[in-house]
Formats: sequence, structure tokens, C-alpha cells
Amino acid sequence: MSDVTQVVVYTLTIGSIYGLVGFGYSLIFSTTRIVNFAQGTLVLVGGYLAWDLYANAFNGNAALPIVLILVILLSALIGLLVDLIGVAPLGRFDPRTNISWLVTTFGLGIVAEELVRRYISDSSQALPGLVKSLPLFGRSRLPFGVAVSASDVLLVVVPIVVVVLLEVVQARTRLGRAFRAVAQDRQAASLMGINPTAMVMVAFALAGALAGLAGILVAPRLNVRFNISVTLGVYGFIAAVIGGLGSTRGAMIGGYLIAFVEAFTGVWNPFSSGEVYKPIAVFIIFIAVLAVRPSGLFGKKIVEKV
Amino acid sequence: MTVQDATPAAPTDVAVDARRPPPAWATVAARFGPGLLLIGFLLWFGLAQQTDRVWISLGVDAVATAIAVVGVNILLGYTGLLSLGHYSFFVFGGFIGAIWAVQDWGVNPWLGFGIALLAGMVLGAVLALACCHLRGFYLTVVTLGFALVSAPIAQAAKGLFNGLTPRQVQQPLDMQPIFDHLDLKNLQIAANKYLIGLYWIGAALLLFSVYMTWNLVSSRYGRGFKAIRESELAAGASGVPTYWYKVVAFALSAGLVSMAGVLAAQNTLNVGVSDGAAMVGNSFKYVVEAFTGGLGTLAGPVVGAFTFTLGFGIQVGGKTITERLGTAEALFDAALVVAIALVAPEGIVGGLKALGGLMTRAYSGSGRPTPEVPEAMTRPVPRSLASSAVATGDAATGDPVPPVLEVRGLTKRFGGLAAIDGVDLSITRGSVHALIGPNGSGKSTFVNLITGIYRADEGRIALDGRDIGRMSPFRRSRLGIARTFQTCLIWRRMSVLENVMVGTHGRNGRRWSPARIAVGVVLALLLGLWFHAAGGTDVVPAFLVAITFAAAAVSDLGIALLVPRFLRRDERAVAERAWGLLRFVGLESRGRDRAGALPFADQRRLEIARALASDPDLLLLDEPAAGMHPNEVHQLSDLIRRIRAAGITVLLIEHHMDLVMELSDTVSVIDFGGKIAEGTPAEVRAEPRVIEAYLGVDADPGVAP
Repeated sequence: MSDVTQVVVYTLTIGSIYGLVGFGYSLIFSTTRIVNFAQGTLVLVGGYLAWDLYANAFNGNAALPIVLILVILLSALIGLLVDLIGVAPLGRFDPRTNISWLVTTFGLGIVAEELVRRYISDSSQALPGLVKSLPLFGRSRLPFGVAVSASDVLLVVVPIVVVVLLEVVQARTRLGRAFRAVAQDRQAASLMGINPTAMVMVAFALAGALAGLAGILVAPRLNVRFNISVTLGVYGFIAAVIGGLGSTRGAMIGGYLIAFVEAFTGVWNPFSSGEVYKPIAVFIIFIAVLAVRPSGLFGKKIVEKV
Repeated sequence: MTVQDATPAAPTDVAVDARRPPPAWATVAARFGPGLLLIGFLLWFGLAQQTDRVWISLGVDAVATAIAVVGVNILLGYTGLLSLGHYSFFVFGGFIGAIWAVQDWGVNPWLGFGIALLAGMVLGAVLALACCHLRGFYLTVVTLGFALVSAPIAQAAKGLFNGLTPRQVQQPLDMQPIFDHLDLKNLQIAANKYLIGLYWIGAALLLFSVYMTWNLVSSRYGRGFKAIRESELAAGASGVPTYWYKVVAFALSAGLVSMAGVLAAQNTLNVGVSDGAAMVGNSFKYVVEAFTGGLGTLAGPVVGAFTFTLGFGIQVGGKTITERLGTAEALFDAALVVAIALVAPEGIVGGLKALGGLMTRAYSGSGRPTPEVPEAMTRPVPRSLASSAVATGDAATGDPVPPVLEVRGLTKRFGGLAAIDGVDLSITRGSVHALIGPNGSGKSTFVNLITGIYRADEGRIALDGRDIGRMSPFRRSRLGIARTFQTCLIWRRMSVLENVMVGTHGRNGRRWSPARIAVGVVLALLLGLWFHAAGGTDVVPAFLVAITFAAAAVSDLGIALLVPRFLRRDERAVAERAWGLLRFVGLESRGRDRAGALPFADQRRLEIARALASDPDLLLLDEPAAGMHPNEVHQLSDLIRRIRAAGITVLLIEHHMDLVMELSDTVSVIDFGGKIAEGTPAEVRAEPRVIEAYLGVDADPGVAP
């Protein structure tokens, strides 16, 4: 593969995973003004759940799509648990002065990760590509001689479909409107008969489901392993911040952007091994965005009510 | 006469006064007991365990961890910011203090601790500069990212400082002076002598760290940190440079953690960077320990760190707790910290304090009586501004008095909607100027624009003729604008007195006096000579280090860290001023209580005292009477009158029309973001557009006075 196609493929595939994770941050931030520090771990948990269900529970006999659906449901449940155990008991609070949520969300992430380590597996696992079992895709060859695996195609397509779908739901349905109302003004929304607590639960469950989906989609590329929780957690957040925390599309675009930066640094840099410079480059970009445009590319500046 | 004297005292005040002060020994025990206990424990442990290699090694581990957690507590406990990457500073400290400085720069290993402290502070400050203008959680993610990139940076920087690759400490500390005091005939002691020496150094450094924190929390820095933790918005509006203080807090905590890293490096004799996940995991461990011990307390971090290192080293049924937990320890830690955060956020020390509070409930507050305040201190304006009050009198002679505040064409849009649309306003010095208008007319937006919480889209704001439109809230506070908040943003977990003391922030900065510079120069010379002569360091590095140390020591922050409060005259003056203001608003009997425990009306008065503490030219009261009982409104109106009598200009935003009509010299009315009327109370009341705006409510003779 040439350098250019390598960069393009990396950007589109890994970028959409960052975006998917970042999207989860945005959903929760827009309804609660907090950041769910367990988001990265939920990706890992989703991946291991999928592996466990596929390899152990079904002995590799079930079609992966069934596993996929089960994992998404379970991940949504785990996301919801983070809210119910770690955030809801804090009651109505000002996230700026009561910082317990930082510790509870991060702590619950570690609890989930350690439970996986104890009860599912403590080593890296390979999950078969999702689409090999689907009849339509075999080994596909795209134009220009680019070899792309079918799971890569899914990795690119599924997140975009999900984001578009959720945007449509947000714009068109009753639930979506309620959700946007809570995101804009929690108090006013509750006066209009919307239950903000329920919307927060929806946000956490959705974010959990997105993380689980990301965990399965990313498995063929990165395998299911433990160090992705911090990496994807931080990169997803960076994607969300670059796009503008709270903006749906922003998170995806932010994801592509940092994946591009990574791929670019990996390929074109004056030093010998590019791998090492990838995270450094992303970190520098992150710091630069925070310093210059903290509300991101698509985010609106948040005006605090006094 | 205070307001409170004018009316029957609230029942709670009676109860406070009726309680006996606790006996003197109890007060002394409460103040110095924990510190003496720590010294006693460290001495006992060092002497009793020196023959046991396992325990003395655990002891070194424990003091190093405790120093790091003391550092984390400054950031998390006092300032309310969470870092999940502090272990990176621990490793960095090991590198710079035990390896680079010693092996590459030829500095005496003993100086490694100080170098790591300062270098950690600098690195921390650089990181914090990038994100401290944002909400707290951004800092958390930046530290996570920092932990993540520290391994790649270590790899990438192979050429730098001879590398960040794992290295051995070649020149351990020369501890002959300590060894001289050890009974080396005892073979077990002789075998452990390096660890024993390290333990005593660590214990001394731990005491030093706790001592610095102790000084810090009762200095203006510590009060500023706590104010930021409780409400950053109010801190900025009270003159605390919130951005810089957050940077300082982060730097300090990074410095202490990196100093602890030197100790650990000298203990294990090698330093290396682990992968990102492990860096984050180790950093989280500090948070767990700080939480368990008790956040925002002096003793908490030490208790927490000792619990997890020494406590878990205790054998239960033949195995230590650490061994029993085994691989489940990470799970246990995380579950524990979640439980503590939800159920007992005060931790062990907080719990003990609450217990102590129950036992001494018969006694009043802290046992210390309210100090006598010189009469001169009980006025809101102690110095300069009395003369400007006189200037108002010149108006009678026909000279135009320049307005305190002049606003021209002020506009603020939220989205397409103009919340404030081209408002002009000018406030006469020494007057009470009321700003009224229906709900949502833009009054609060106006206040937020004046105080700098929002930036105006158009228009000019001038204070005493000086354009302040682009300044941050804390600068405006320092120039003389003070405010209270509609939602009453007091710092609940600070004492009433501390709340007011923070208010003095703006106008009590220390100046660089010749004496201070002289002390710094002498210190630099002495230290340089000492390092060179006794430590055997080359002249240039010795003096470079000495000058850095001396400059750090005589800086504002250095003094706050090193000089105890009872030796500081400026601190006493600030406290006296704060007591005086508490007396002015009638709260002096509650000075040592927790601010959050005050009844609502008293919290409002506290907010006013805090605002007055900055010696403002202009005081903005944002709906001070909201939610008040008529009796309390009456007291408030008396207070505002006395504030004006002291020569302070008041901008009053209020819905209580009788209060407005009774107090104001001028009333401005805004509606839909624009000014619709202005004049004396009587004129405004007669204005048809005002009546229209209020839908005739204010024309009701029952409401109007």
C-alpha cells in the first residue's frame, strides 16, 4: 500500500472509532455537563464481552451479528449502571464545584476493567472480523488496487450511519426533541414536563451502546486488549473537544482529524520511528486547540448562567 | 452600632454565646495534636523498625507516597482539580533529582530533592498554563494525556539529557552523617543502614511538606485555592486571579510529587517510565489514598498513604493484606474510592473530625474568643477612599463630579437576541443608583458585563475614566468593582472569616521591599558557598542552584510556604480587617463558623462583607433582598445606607420596589435590554413607559411606598 492510501485508510477507520467514542462524551456532556471518564473503558468492556460471548458462550457457532446485538444491549446497560451508581446518587449538583463525579466515573471504569480482567480474560484476544460471516462480503478489492478488508469497510460505514441515524432521531422524534431541550436548558425542559433524569439515563445508555459498538468494530484492527481503554478514552475525548464538546458531527470530524494527524506523523516525519511520535503529535494538537479554541470547531461557546 | 444590635438576636447566636469555651489544653491539642502525633509516629517507627528490613523499606515507601499524596491533596483537596497523571511527575522527579542533576550535571545528590521540587513545579506550570483557563475537567484529561505520552516522550527523547530510558542511580546519597548516629555494631541495623538513612530523610521531607501545606492553607494562596474550589466565579469576582492560582496549585503539587520521586529513586536505585495505562493507574492510586484519608485536610493525605502502605503491610493470618488482595487490589481501590466519594466524601480524617465535633459539642466553635477589633477597622473604608467621598460634596459648588462608572452603548447578544442593547449609564460617585426592570429585562446580564463575567459585544465601560471593557473579573475587582451574586455564591466550606479574608485579595498584594531582596541575596550567597564548599559541587552549578533556591524562597509563594502565619504581620492585618467588616455587617459572633452553616440572610450579609473587603469604589448588589423576610429587608436597607455613608457608590439591582424607592438617589429602568427611563424615584414612578413595562403593577399604591 502506498503511503497516501495508508494514511487515508487509517484516517477513515481509526478516525471513525475515535469519533464514535467522542460522540459518547458529547451525548453525556450535553445533558449533564459532566464528562464520563468511564467511556474509554466501556469500549474495552464491549470488546471483551463480544469475545467472551463469541468464543466461550456460543463456542464460535453463533453468527456475529447476534453477538453484536447482545453486546450493544449489555453495553447500554453498563453505561446506564455508571449513571445509576456513580452519578445519579450525587443528586442535583453543580459539576463545577462538586467534583465527586470525576472520581466516581473514572473509578467505575476501573472497576469494570478489573472485573473483565478477573472474570473474562486478562490477555489480548482476537475477535474475528464481523463480516466474514456475512454472505455478501468476501475479500473485496476496491478500485486503484487498494486492498481493504471488509471489516475496515464496516468500520468506516457503520459509525457514519449511526451518527446520521442519531442526528435524524434528535431532529425528528419526540424523544430527540426532549433530549435537545434538556441539553439546552435542563430547568426549562423539566418545566415543560420532560423528565431530565430520564434523558440523562438515555444519554448514558446510548453512550454505553456506542462504546460497545466501537469495541466490536475496532477489534479486527487493534484486537481486544487492555491498554485501549486509556488510549481510546483520551483520544475520543480529544476528538470531542476538537469538534466541540456537545456537537454530534464535531466529534466525528475531530476523530478523523486526529487519526489523520496520527497517520501523517507515522508516515512523514524526519525521525526514524514514527510510531513513537504519533501520541506526542496528537497531544500537542490537543493542547493547541485548548489554548486557542477551547470550544472546538463546531462547538458553541458555553455561557454560564449566573 | 451593628445591624444585629438593632434587632433581637437570632436564637442561634444566643446558643453560641451561652456555650463555654473549651479548656486551653483541648484547644492546643486540636491545633498541634495531629502534628505532634505524626512526629511521634515517625520517630517511633524509625526507631522500632530499624532492625526489620521489610518494615523499614515499607517505611521509606510510605513516606515517599505520603509526600506525593500531600502534593495531590493541594490540587484535589484544596483547589478541587483532579489530576490523573501525577505519577509522571514522580518519575520525572526521579530522573532529574537522582540521575541527571547528579550524574550529568555534577550536582551533589542531596540537592536533588530541591532541584526536583523546583523542576517539577516548572514542568507542572507549563502543562497547567495550557488548560487552566478552562473548566476543571479539561485539566484531568490533559493530565491523562500527559501520562499517556510520557512513555513515548521518554523514547523520543533518547538523546536528551542522556536519555529517559530506564537508568540506575549511580551515586546514591552519602549518608555518613546519619550512619554515625546508628548503632552499626547491631548487624541488622548495619545491614539496613542505607534504608534507615533514607527513612529519616524521607520523614524529614514529609514533615517539611506538611509544614509547607500548613502554612499554605492559611495564606492568601491557600484561601484563594479553596475559594476556587468552592466557586471559581465568586473567586474571580473577589479579586483572586483564578487562572494563575490554578497554575500555582498545579505546579506546587507537581513539585511535591516529583520530590517524592527522588526519594523513591534513591530507594529502588533505578528509574524508568512505564506505559501509559500503568502511569494512569499509579496516579489514580494517589487519588484513592487522598480520598480515603480525607481530602482538603492536612492529616488526610498522610493517614491515607500510611493506611495503604503500612496498614496493608500488616499480617493477617500469616499473610499481609497486600498479599491477600493480590491482583484484586486495583479492583478494591477503585470500588473503595467510588464508595467513599458517594457515602463519606470527608474520608477518615473528616470522620474523626466529625466525631471530635460531637464530643465537644458543648463547647463553642473553636474555643477562641472573637478578637477585639479597633474601632477604626469596623468601617468599610479604612483608608484612601474617605477623600473621594468628600468629592461628592463638591457637586454642591457646581463642579461636575466625574462619574464612577460610565457605560456607553453597551450591547450583548446571545445568539440573535440582544440581551443588552445599546445601554448608556453613568453612576455618580457616592450615590445609590438603582437598576430595575421586569424579569428577563437584562439586569443580571448588565451586572455580568460590568464585572467581566461576560464580554460585551459592543460599547465601552469606564471606571474612573479608565476603559475596563476587556479586563478579566479579578482585574476589575482589583480596580474597585465589587459585587454580590443573585444566587449568593459564598464559599460554603470555608469559615465566615476566611470568606471575608479572601475578599481583601485585590488590594493587599505584597511589594518587593529592599529588605526582602537583601534577604534573598544573602541567602543565595550563603547557600552557594555552602553547596560549593561542603557539597563539593562546582562553583557555577552550585551558585545557579543557590540563586534559584533563594529566589524561590523569597518569592510571594515561597514566603507563604515557609513562614508560619503567626509570624506574618500582613496576615494579621488582613484578619483584623476581616473581623472589622464582620462587625460592620453584624456577623462577628459567627466568624469562626462554617459559612455554609449560616442562615440565608446572614449569607447575604457575609457576601456584602466579602465584597466590601476589597475596598471597592463601586459595589454592585444583585438582588440582595431576594427571598428575604420583610424584617431582614429592613436590616439590609440600613446596611446599604451605612455603606453609602462610608462613601461607597452602590449599584442596586432589585425587585423590592419599596427598598429601591426608599434608598436610591437615581433609578434607571431597563426593559428588553434597553434603558426606558431614568431619574429620581419620584420621576421614574410617574413615567408612563415604566408603568407600562411593569403592566401597572408598580402603580398599585399598595406596593409603592
